[in-house]
Amino acid sequence: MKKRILITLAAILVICLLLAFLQTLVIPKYADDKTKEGSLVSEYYAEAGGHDVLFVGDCEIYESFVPAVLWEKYGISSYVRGSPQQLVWQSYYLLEEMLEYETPNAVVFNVFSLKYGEPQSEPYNRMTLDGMRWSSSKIDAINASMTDEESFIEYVFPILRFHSRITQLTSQDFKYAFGSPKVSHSGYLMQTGVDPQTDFSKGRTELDYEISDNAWKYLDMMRALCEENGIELILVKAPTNTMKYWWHDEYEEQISEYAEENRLSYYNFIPLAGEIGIDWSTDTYDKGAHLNVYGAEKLTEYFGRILSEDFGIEDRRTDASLSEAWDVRLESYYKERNG
Amino acid sequence: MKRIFALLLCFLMIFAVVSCSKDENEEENGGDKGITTSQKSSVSFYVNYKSVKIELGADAKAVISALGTAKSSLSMGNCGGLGTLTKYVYDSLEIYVLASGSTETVDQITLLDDAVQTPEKVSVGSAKDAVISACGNGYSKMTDTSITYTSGSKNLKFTLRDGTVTGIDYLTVS
Repeated sequence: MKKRILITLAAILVICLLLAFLQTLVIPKYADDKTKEGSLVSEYYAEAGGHDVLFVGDCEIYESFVPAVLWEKYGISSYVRGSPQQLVWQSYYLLEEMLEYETPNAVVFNVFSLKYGEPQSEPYNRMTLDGMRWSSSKIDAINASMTDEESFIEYVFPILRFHSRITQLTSQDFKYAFGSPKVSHSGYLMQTGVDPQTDFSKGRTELDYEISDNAWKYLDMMRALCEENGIELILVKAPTNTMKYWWHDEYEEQISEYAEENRLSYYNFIPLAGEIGIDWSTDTYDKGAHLNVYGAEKLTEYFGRILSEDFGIEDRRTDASLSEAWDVRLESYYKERNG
Repeated sequence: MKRIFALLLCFLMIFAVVSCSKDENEEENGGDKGITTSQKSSVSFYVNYKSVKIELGADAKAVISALGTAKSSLSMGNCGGLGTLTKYVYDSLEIYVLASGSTETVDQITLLDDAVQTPEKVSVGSAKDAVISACGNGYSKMTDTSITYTSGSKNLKFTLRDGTVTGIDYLTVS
């Protein structure tokens, strides 16, 4: 009898291990150049703690602000927790999770995603949510983010969602089954290419320009969370503005009004691009949709001055252990930047 | 031993059955589907331009090919490598094409001047009353600055200023 039970338990264990292994094989690896943004969220844990400034938001945040430059020029220790089409409720829960690891002086949120009031797309949800460690924040983030076609159980057991990839596995699925390569520099995703912006015509019409109650709700929650923790919440809009990602005047009016009503600092860098020194013929890698590293460095240097002078974020370069950690990060940053 | 094999087979069968629960195309697109609303509209979601019928959701390759060379075009990739949006500009309209995998669909049509009419005979410059007269009261939303007709994920939006149509857009919202 005991032998039978042991054999049955062993068989169940083997099956579980087999399924776990299959799961590691079939889940997306985000290891190629086109999809590597999917690895950003999970990279935070290796550097969690000790930051003065945390950034959250969509692609505009992880392509615009360079923590290595903030440290090098101003001694500000920072991390960018961005992800593609990161929606405001995802930014909120990512921030909530990060505050379990650290309490920064300031949180910077890119406002572009406020145009979305509902869950949008499962692939983007996956790129943000799958990289989070399990916590109440992750559970809440999943529940807030799921589209009608998604189910919670598929986040718990991704094999239920991605099993059909078993017939489409590539060498990368085996190579990165137990971990993808590091893609960012403290959350900043470097792009060194140059593809000038030549089209400056107004972006396409949207169905509705009114920021939804749901989006406002999570921005309110983010503001309250920051207040409770004595953190300065700073709103920004990256300087990029193209037909695909157009910042309409109607959005600007609503955000400006919100910032004023709630006494928040809001920086729209679109009209400041000239003052910052951004040259759209050299400082973008995709026709103006996002900054490349040269544009991001200019913007970061400009914003670093604001953080340092207007918000009093301290220069911590005299902190030996922090300096040591950043020396390593800077070396890695310049190694990739300068090829 | 037979029972163990049976158990193993059961698990594998569950795995196999679950793997058939969604079609391949849906897997590739992450199950992204359009918003559906109960609102029905009597308006049409296409325009005729240069004798070519351009319809929201249609195969864009055929449409772009039939229209001939555009005045200009601009392509931009989505973040995370999830598709590309291309704007084709013609004399009197713009077409936005969404490419995902090997599929290219007409995602948005913007009428630029009064040289193009909707099938309901409304054009830029028409009066607000003319819009309602031609398209009916089945709009999904009306404000001082716009009237929108919706069917599923397809929308026809008339932008208004001082009671006159200043913009006409066919939009897919997914």
